[in-house]
Amino acid sequence: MGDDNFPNVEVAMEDVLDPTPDDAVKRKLGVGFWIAIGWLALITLLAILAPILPIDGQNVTGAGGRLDGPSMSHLFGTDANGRDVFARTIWGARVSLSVGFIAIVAGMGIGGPLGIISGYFRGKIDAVISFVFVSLLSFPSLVLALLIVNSLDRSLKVVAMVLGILAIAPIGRLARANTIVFAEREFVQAARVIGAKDVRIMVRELLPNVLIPMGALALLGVAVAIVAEGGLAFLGLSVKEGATWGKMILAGSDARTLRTGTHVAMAPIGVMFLTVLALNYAGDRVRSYFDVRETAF
Amino acid sequence: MRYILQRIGQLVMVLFAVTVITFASVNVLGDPLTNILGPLASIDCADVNAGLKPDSSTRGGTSEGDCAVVERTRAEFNLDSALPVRYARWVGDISTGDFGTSFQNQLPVSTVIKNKLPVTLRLVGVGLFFSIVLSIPWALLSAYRANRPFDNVSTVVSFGLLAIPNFAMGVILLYFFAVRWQFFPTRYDPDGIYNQLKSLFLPGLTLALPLAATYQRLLRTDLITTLQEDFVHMARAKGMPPRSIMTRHALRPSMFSVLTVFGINTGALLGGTLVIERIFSIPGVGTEIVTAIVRDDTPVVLGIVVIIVTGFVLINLLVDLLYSVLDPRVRRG
Amino acid sequence: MSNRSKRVSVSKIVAGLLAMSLIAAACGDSSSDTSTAATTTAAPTTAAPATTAAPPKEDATSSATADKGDSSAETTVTDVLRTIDGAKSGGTLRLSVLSETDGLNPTVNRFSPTAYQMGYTVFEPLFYWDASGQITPYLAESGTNSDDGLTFTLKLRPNITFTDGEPLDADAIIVNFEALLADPLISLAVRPALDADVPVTKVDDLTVEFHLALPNKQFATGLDGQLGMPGSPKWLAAAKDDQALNQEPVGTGPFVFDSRVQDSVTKFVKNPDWWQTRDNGTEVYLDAIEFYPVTDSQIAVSQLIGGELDGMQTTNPTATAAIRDEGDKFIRLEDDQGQESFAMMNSTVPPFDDIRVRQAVTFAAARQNYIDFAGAGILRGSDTMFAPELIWNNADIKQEGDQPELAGPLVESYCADVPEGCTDGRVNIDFEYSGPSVDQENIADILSEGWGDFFNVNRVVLLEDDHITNVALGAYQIVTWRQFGAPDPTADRVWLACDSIGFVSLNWPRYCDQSREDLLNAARATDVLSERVDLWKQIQQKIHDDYLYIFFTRTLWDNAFVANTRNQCGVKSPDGVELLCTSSGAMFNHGIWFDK
Repeated sequence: MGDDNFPNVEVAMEDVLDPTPDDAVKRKLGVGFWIAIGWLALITLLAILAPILPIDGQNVTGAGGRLDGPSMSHLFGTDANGRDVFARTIWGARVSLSVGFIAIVAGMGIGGPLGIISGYFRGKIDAVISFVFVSLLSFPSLVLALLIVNSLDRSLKVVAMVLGILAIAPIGRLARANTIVFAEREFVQAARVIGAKDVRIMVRELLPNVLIPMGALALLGVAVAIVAEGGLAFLGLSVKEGATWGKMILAGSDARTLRTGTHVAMAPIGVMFLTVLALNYAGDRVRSYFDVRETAF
Repeated sequence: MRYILQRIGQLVMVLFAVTVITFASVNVLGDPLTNILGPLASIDCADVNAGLKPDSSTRGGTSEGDCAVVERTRAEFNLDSALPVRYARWVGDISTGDFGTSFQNQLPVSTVIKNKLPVTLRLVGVGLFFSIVLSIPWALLSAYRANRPFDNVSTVVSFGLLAIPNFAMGVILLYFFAVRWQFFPTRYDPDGIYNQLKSLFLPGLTLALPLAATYQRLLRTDLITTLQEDFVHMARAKGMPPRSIMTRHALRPSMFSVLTVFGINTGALLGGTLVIERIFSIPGVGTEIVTAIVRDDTPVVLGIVVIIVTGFVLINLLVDLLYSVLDPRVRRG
Repeated sequence: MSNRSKRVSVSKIVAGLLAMSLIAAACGDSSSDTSTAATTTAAPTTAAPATTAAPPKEDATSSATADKGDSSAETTVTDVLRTIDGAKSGGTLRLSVLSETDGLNPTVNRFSPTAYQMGYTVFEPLFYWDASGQITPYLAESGTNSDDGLTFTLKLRPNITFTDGEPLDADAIIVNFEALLADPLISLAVRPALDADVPVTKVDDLTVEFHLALPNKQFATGLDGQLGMPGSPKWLAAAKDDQALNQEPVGTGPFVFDSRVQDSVTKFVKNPDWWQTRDNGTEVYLDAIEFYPVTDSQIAVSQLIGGELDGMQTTNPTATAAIRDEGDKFIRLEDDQGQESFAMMNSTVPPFDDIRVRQAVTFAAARQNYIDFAGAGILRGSDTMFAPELIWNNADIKQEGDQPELAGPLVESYCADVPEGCTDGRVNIDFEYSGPSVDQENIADILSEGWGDFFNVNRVVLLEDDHITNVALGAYQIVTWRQFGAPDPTADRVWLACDSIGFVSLNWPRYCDQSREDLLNAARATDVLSERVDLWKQIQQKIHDDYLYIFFTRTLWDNAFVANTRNQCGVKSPDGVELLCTSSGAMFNHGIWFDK
């Protein structure tokens, strides 16, 4: 079982013995990382501030003409209902980002502790929890999401929760793998020797260390959840009320709208692309920076 | 041998867990009687039996009353038995190849699967083919000149590909290559192998591009490592041309992690084509299960889930076995 | 197996209902020809050549685009649509339909416009509409009303056989009607019209008598569709035991069922022994017709442009616009004189059992936004159940909407009386529509926006089937809907009559008013056109005053074909009468041939 350690050691050794030019980059987060974080901050800020931005009157039918192209008054043009696409993209960010963040927080909140418990205690608990993870991973994720969303309702809560459930297994597996690694380390062993309680060890010693790789994975997870919302929209089961990026892209995706009002789909696609790119890139950088080993997500 | 048995045991357990979850969720979250009978299920038979309400108000010429239908349906589908009993019965039926009958059109579910699964398999096959054909040369080129301009650009490209949502990619490819320039048809054409492949080109590509980017990233990293190995240096010293070094010596030993991920992805693809099938109007199991879920067509949902999950688990088992044959160390993990 | 089929039950029933409804609808749907036709007969002033369906808002030139182009418009169009000069045999016509149908048995399955597109290849109606919108015999040789309007005598043409060799005779008609009456849903559309004890009797080998419950001199107008499309008795009997046979229809028609893969393609091949010929009706030139269900009209347009289809149908205005964009590459049959799009309320459940709420929701409706944006600048607004140029139209009626100032006081007074139906001073309503559909979402956005100040709108999206089921069962509050527009309004009576209210209702709002019922019955009991027109104008006023429907736009049906197809509208009845070209998207396709 100590095998889980093995690849990590190998990577570290390789880094030391055979520094490739990559390593220079690896040791700092880089400009790209900060650009990505800047973009995410901007989008998040806009989403939070949406109600007080001067865009409220723009997200109504007839704010502009039907499928008007981009102009000074409508930066991203208008959609089939004459609503301002820029305003809707910001409102959509509220839903899409909420879905992403809530899903991942839920995934971390459930998957993290399960993974740590599983990796710390090993034995039967581990067998059971790992089995749950494997089963969850074997399930075609979108099918599971559709099943639940269809049976419950299409509220933001449910959609976010469903995507959160999907995040449990990957995050949990990562937490477990890292817990196993850290549980062998001296500081944990030392805490055990002085008789610290299991809960205390897990919370005080393991959690902080497991959080970093989980955080890196969470960034990717948010991206996955945002994209998943779009997929649900294309299958007709995304959040019911209000604009989401997925629903906006779908609304602009028919052949004629693509031809006569390309902006309707392309604006949200562009914003979603940049956001996912930023999340992926930031996650990747964090991972390299802290030298987190790859796990399949 | 023990390892194999162990894995098969796990496979069965996973299948059991997944089917239990699905079976329970469709039966608990939705009311099976309503799914079968629709609004008739809500008829208050107590009132009818007490003579407070007329029976058969809807069924003109038929002799059977509404409540009789409700009762017969309950009996026929064992709705009064406990959930585990119904589950056991269902598993028993499946083991004899009887997946039940679609609520929607009374077709046997096995027929539905037989019609739809090959289409999805072909789509996945085309996607995998593209992903391999694209990623291997791409990885070889970028690893050969690691951190040079080509490699740097290709890193950017692969990040870009991974950041484009598959539905956006599908919509864009469909619009330009099928609608605008009409290089490809916009719907699945089942007529002959050539037409099939032609109509699966774009959806296959949509499926393949992000996969190709992933495989390229993995393979490139492993190739760079392999290229530092002694035997490669040796080959180089012997004056072998770079191309043969890359393809003959470096590629094979660098394939391990790609192979693993390839296995996982392939299994996942079976259940991951829903959106692409929808966008490209492909009548595969993805389209079918989406419709079935929305229509509460429980037998079809369950049948397809069983097939997808079995496929997923089997492929992973296969990859594992292959892997352990190639590298005995793995068995310990 | 037969047990299982029973599970079909309610949803099937409902579907059946729908069918019925659609029967009615389909029969009844709309066609510009119809309307023009009606106009021609009654008010010659507006008479336009009923030949081509002209796009509503456009002038003759645009209908000219339907033609290949080099020569000038209308005459050519007419030529193309009705010519067999140089007709060539052969070819397979590939058409898209709006949705898949659950089966093709007229006595069991719901016939939507889609099913009619397919059904009219295999089956033939007893009666159909002539180009002027009058009912005319087809399989029937004649139909005669008794003076008291209580008996309808149907005489069949001799020597017609089903494609399985069974004769089309009085017995076959009775078998078909018995099957219709035995179906829980479909019987709902027939039963109220017929005498309860002895609905149908055989007179001789080719003659049957229908005994009617109330005086009805318009009975034949109900036999143009599902209720009057006889299937082979042998096949009907077999299909009762094996439901799968509902997918493999056997009729008397110009084509024979060949193969069917649900949700993919349904194919019919030429019936070599068809009873009609060029001298006696219509000749068939095509080898086969294939129907592809394409639910997304934009995709259908792409396929039409890409040469994957030879023809398509749509009611989606942007798809229609996309086809128009292609200019003379396609022949277009556009028709917006039939159905209307509207919101509809259930008068039997709160809050819409209260006329104040019905009025408030009407006044607050964002009708102009609906017309401008959902209509895509293509659809006409509608005020009532008829197009303004039709003789039936009551021009005094104007649909209210966009008057939120009138809604406020009504909501206030309702909420004072029924506080449990309101939250924060707004009435709680469930607004249901079918989906998933981008267009429906956009419409729902527009309407919810308008209602938002006075109503808490809970949006409910259902699949079309479930949507229709709920409406038929009265399990809804307010919905968006499309209806009316039969070539003859008698066929639309079923949506309004008290006798179509029940556990399952075709009178969707479940609204029964005896004075309106009397008008409906009177309109059916006479065959004097001017009387009927007058009665229908009164009926419209009643409908308007009850605030059950908010009319938004006229529905534009567009059947488009590639430019080298010919003779879309050239189908004649066996008596040589030119027939109505399209009716709510359904049409006879068996006259079509390919040029080059």
